[in-house]
Amino acid sequence: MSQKATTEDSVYMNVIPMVDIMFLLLLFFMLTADFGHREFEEVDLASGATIKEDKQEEAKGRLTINIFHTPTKGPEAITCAAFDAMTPCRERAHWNVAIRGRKLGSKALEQWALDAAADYKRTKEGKSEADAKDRKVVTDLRVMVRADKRAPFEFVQVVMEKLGNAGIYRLEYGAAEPVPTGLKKP
Amino acid sequence: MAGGGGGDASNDNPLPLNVVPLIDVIFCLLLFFMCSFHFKLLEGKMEAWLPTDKGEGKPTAPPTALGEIRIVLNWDPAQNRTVRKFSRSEYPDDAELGQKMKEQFDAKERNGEKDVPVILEVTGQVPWDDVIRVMDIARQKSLPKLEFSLARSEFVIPESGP
Repeated sequence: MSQKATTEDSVYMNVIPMVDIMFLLLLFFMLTADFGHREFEEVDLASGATIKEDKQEEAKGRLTINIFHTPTKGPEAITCAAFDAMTPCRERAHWNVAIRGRKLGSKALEQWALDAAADYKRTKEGKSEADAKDRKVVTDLRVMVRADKRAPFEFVQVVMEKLGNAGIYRLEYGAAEPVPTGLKKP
Repeated sequence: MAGGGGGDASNDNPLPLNVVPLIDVIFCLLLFFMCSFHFKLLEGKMEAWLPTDKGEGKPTAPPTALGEIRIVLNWDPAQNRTVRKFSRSEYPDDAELGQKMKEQFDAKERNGEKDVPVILEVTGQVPWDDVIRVMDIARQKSLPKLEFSLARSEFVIPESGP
């Protein structure tokens, strides 16, 4: 009886390596997960070989405008065969322009651009109230336009036009690094 | 050992650590991250500033067709593709288009023209991807100045919600 108890006690599972591996896996997933959400919308960016690295410190003080297709998966999904087939979607109603999750039309976008430019001129550039409101006085405010690669150019054009009219000329266009051929989706 | 040697595991460690809840929590966290995981896309940017000396309320210089490299992008619905035209010829091939742009840029520089811009004239239906591609080609050929030729757009993005 005593012999049996000793044998049972000596056989135990060593969980330390398992915990080690799980910690490592956890660390890997936590570090590589994208928490940025790039101002909320998921945008399938066009890729370019000559894109500049978007450093974190350069993103400070910059505003982001996303141009994206309404999702075809998830709770608020719509049906769009063209988009699902990775071809350009021509349905204007499927495309959105949004800033921090708020969808904007042409009029709201124009007002947003004017307000953002005036605010930047007032607070960061120390310009007078009159200059801040004057759309002909340009500002160094930077705006990143993140457009889906299949978005019709007319949406980007409207954004450019509204920003230009508000005196915002420093535009950056979001693009992704080319995916190596082996990692491309079929 | 603490027990004077020869003792079992429980005698070695009088305060055994119960790892079961720890493993439970780690498993849950691991499951969460594995399910919500997608790789960070390496995002960058391309800069093409809007001209500050043109547009509404600004004195406009007469267009100087000679002092620019103009690429026209049109969407062809019949062929379901973007048609890229440069100097009245179509260039579907990236390398060929880049080479022609560079040749013309160099020729203009030899003629003493400075700051020759590459002007993109794009119609509304062209996918953004094709526009970025031409910008990318221009950058690869070290053409420094990129501009968009924007006609006043009649398109209005509808307002959404209150």
